Amino acid sequence: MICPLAPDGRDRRFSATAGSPRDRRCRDRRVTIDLVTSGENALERTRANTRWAVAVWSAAAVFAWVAGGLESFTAAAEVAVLLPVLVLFGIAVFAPPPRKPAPRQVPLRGWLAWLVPILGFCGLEVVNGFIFGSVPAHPTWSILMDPVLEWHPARAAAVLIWIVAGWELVRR
Amino acid sequence: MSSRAFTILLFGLIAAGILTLDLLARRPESKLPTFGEVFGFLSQRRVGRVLVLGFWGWSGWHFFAR
Repeated sequence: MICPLAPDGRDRRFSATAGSPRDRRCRDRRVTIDLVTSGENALERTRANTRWAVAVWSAAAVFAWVAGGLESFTAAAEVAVLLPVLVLFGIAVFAPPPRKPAPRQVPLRGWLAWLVPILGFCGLEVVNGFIFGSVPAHPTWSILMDPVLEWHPARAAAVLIWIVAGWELVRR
Repeated sequence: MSSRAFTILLFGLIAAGILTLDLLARRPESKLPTFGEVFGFLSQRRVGRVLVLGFWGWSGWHFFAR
């Protein structure tokens, strides 16, 4: 069966009102071709996105491993922190990704429930940091984390978690 | 119990509280927002977004550079 095509490649009789059985068969075939083509394109896009995501996160993991090996209070460590900050701020400002849907409608007490742990954490940090001076007997969170972050794999994992968290915040 | 152990216990309780709230928020028909939705809520306005991202940047600086 030969379907007549317009110069733009579309079926001349591609309309819902086309009447003859041949027109309907041509229309159905065109719809099938369009669906298959768009499906293949979507699949290819998904594969390309997946490859891209794997490449980017692999690079981020390598970066985190390198950054995790740098000592604090060095210029290299400062650059290693500033780099992801600049990249993610740049993405947020100049090329923002599609943002996740706005939060669901939840009652006020739902939001207030989060104030308990957040204010508890802030209070503990303020008391131990400013009142007790963050001594070993009254450590702040960062003092407690110092021995953990001295171990290279843990520090690298923390850097990667920090980068992932930054990316998730950019998407919010 | 020493003051250090007590402080660690409090931090542990806070972490457990955050984890519990987030798990509760993920149940169907939950009236609680998830931890991510809290930051989404804060990021709805430009100033909130700047503050949230600024806090993230500062935390990296604090833990890994200083």
